[in-house]
Amino acid sequence: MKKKSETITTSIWQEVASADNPFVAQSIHVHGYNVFSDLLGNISWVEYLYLLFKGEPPSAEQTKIFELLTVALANPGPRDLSVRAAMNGGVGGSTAAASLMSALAVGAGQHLGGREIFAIVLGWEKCGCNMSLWTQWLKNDSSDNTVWPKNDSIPGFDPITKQCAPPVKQLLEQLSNRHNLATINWLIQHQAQLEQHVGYALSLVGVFGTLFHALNFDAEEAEMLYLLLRLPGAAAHSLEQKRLGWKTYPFWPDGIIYREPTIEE
Amino acid sequence: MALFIGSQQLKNKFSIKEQLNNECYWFTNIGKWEPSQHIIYRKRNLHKPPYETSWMSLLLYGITAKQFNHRQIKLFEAIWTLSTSYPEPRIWNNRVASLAGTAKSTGALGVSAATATSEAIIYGLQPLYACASMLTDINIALHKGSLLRDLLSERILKNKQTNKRPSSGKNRSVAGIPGYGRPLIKKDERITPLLDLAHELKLDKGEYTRLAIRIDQQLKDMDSALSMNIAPIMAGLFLDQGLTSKDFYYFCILCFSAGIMPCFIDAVEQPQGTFFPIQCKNINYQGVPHRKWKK
Repeated sequence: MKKKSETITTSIWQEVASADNPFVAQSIHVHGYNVFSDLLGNISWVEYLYLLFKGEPPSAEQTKIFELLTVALANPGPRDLSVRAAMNGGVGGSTAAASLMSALAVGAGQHLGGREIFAIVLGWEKCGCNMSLWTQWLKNDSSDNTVWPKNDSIPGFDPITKQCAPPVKQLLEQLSNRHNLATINWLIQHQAQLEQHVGYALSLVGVFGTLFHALNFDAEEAEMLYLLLRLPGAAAHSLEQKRLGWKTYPFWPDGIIYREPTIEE
Repeated sequence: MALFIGSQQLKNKFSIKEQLNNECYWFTNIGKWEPSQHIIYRKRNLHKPPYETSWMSLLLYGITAKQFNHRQIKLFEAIWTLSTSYPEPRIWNNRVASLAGTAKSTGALGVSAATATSEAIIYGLQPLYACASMLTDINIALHKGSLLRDLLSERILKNKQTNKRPSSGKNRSVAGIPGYGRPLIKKDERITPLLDLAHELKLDKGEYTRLAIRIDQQLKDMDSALSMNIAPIMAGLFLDQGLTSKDFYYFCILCFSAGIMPCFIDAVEQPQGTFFPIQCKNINYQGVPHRKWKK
């Protein structure tokens, strides 16, 4: 049998094998930097994340903005759909991975999830700081011919309120006080106009998507990072519910209202 | 018959606001468990005879609320069995299950991750759904008087203009003529047995199945390099039973499971980490040269 090795092509990761074992690395480099002898102790978590995705270190300003974003994203809280999914894993005693996979599956959606971020960043890529382009783009363009279901909400806007929520205002205020970002400044200046056009208030997801774009992440990168960066909260809440057990967790004993009046016998 | 909660009569459909105001209730006609009594599955009481014993029959009932005859259920099972049950660990979704096995993860994690992976662009659920949608759209257009050649040419042209490719690049998307063309090889070995079985069941002459074959012939007449894979036959046979492309998508979600499961079992029964192991030198690094991190 002819032995033919296959290779993984990457511009991210390099391993130099140790002399005595081809499966053990002597040194590991990420985008040219030695991970264990150079980066460890010198690079922060968010700098490393940025480096992984973009191939170059972030600037000091980008690091601060990314740090702020990762904290804002880390825990969506136990009412969030993705965290609720993770808690269902925890409360029933599912495996840790099942809880996080549940959070990812639910948190992937077009409503509050990764696909909404994808759409927002795509919007920024197409429209930039151009109000007339945004007003054309801000329509529901959900396609019926993809595996993503039809979705009536507008990416970046909260379909249940016309009043901008306090956390959204606080996040925008923090950003405008601390940083000078053209896209965030434009968003603040045009927020009322955009909300009037859409009929709903700007959402946190709308600001998060804007920040990913401001950090030069494209739509696919932003979607991945959004999925990843919300997992800490899902994990913590899942573990908490696992320890509390199912008796204190909602079940809605009278909650199912069966509409169908006739049962076939 | 009107349904009430307290004095509130239920409408057929609620707005988002009304749903949020009824946050303690979920209104459904899908089913309900009455503890210690029975389970209602759509309109049926599952625990009263005659008992449902066919899982495929129940799955289709759950998706469509329709009941199918014995021949149709046999056809649906054959679509899964002959078309999508490959215990071949190199296929990307199956490989996830094999990796879970070799990592000594759990069967449920491996199989569910592999199932999710099956929603891919170059194979699996995305082209399957797109193919069924295309057959539906083309059939409507043909009934309105369009020519098949023009419809296919339009799709090929539109796909070229979008600059999105299924196989590589940024923002990849499903092929313009989904179901015609197959990664790795040309001839699809599944078509003959599935059509043979459909013929035995006398379910091979529907308009969507004939359309799938007609598209293949039309592409050949247009000197296209594309040739039919199993997806249009799967979709055509399914749509010919009076079902929709969305039904087909739901029907296909678990269709790879009989191939995925043995891949996990095969790998989990071998020593850990031995499934196609990769040596350090087989990382083909093409990035920047070594450099020092800023202090």
